[in-house]
Amino acid sequence: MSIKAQQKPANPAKMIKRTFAVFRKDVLGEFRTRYAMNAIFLFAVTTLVAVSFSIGGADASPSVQSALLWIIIYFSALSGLARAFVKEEESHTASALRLAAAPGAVFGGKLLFNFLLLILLELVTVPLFVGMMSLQVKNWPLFIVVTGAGSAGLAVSATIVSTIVSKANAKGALFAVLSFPILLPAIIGGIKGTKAAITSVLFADGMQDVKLLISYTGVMFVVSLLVFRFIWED
Amino acid sequence: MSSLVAFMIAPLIVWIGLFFYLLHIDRQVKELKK
Amino acid sequence: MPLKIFIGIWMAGVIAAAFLFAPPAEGFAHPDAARIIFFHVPNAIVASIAFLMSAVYSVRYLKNRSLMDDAKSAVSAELGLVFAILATITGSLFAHIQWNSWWNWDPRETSIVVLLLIYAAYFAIRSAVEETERRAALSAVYAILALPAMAFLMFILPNVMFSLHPADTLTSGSGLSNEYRLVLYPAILGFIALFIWIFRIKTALAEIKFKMRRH
Repeated sequence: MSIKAQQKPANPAKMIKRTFAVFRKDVLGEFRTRYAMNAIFLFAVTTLVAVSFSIGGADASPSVQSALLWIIIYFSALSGLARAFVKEEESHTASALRLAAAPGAVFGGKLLFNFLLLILLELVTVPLFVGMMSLQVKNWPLFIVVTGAGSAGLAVSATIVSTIVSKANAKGALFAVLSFPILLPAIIGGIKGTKAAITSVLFADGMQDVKLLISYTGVMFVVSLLVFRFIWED
Repeated sequence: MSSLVAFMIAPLIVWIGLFFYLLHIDRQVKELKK
Repeated sequence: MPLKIFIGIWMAGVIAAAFLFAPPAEGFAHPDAARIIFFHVPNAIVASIAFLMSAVYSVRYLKNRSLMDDAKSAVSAELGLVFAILATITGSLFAHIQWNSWWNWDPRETSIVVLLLIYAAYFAIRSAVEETERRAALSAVYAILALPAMAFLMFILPNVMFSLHPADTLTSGSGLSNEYRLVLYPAILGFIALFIWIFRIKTALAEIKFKMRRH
């Protein structure tokens, strides 16, 4: 058993402060190396070019377009988000982090960082995708809400799965295998919601998917928070 | 009807085989436990 | 022992009744093919039970860190995998006979594929980690995470895709006819009993292995 440092149920304000401390640490570290960002952006742009080159935009139906968008987001996310905990293990900073912050704060910080990465990724990919695939979105607010909620779901599940992967031996190959079944509800919800935003002006058409994505994110967040310390502390 | 009986034979044989195999394993496990 | 012989006779009776007692189901392309539900439905039910059990034993492992609970979780997952594969095969066979298509990405087909993928991932973790305790913790966490994900899929897939899967359309009337219930429910009981039997054999074997390692 590891040393239980600062394990007393800290007050929420302190917890949030620690969460942001972990988040800040990761952001600063990322600015220094830019490893995850490079991996994600290069992957996203490469797949985007490949997809739009082979399909050519105009003749793709809304369901194909929304599926392609989420496939690109998902696979780019895979290449970057897996690093959240692996890099702590590789640089042997995991035990220091374990001592410095409570598990909840570590998970929260990593989650925020992953979410930020995904949002940055989408700020680049989505406009490019819209341009290259000549996407005509009928309901932009819905489109943005769906993308945000879907990314939150992807970020939560990817963060907890990356914790598992960081503790297993076969790090690279395992992440895709483990994350796909767990992330699938978020991907399907995202595809459906995006399709609704492309084809319909009505908010009501995509509301079900938005609700689903938000509840998925909430449930996975709570479950992840409950199980996180069992892997993190060993 | 007769074709149904023919179809019934296959799962029945599989089940009988599995059943005796399980009984056999069961006995071995009991011996291992001592 | 008498109980086990009783299970043997019971299942043989179920198999006989499935072919001889139950009438052919009206309203199907091949009425006799519908008899496969007596094997398909129990397999699917047992597969779901095993999936739940695997998660329950995972929670128990994380609570009290007993390796026996980890072994039970793994055994449930192994058996669940076998029963899920059997349910997939019987379902696909029936789809081929009824709709002349082996596979159509029906919601149920999709969810069982995801279930198989979850098992694949679960065993991938187990084979990737050498340390017993760490393997137990990681796979337990994964089994627990898979549960809500699976629940969401079961909830959304029917809204995404059109389903041909007969839920309550068996035989001409609405719902199952009484003869079908009379065979199907005993079949489900029989398969559950079979699952428990194999489960107990496999956990006993795991226990023996633990004892031998300790000596």
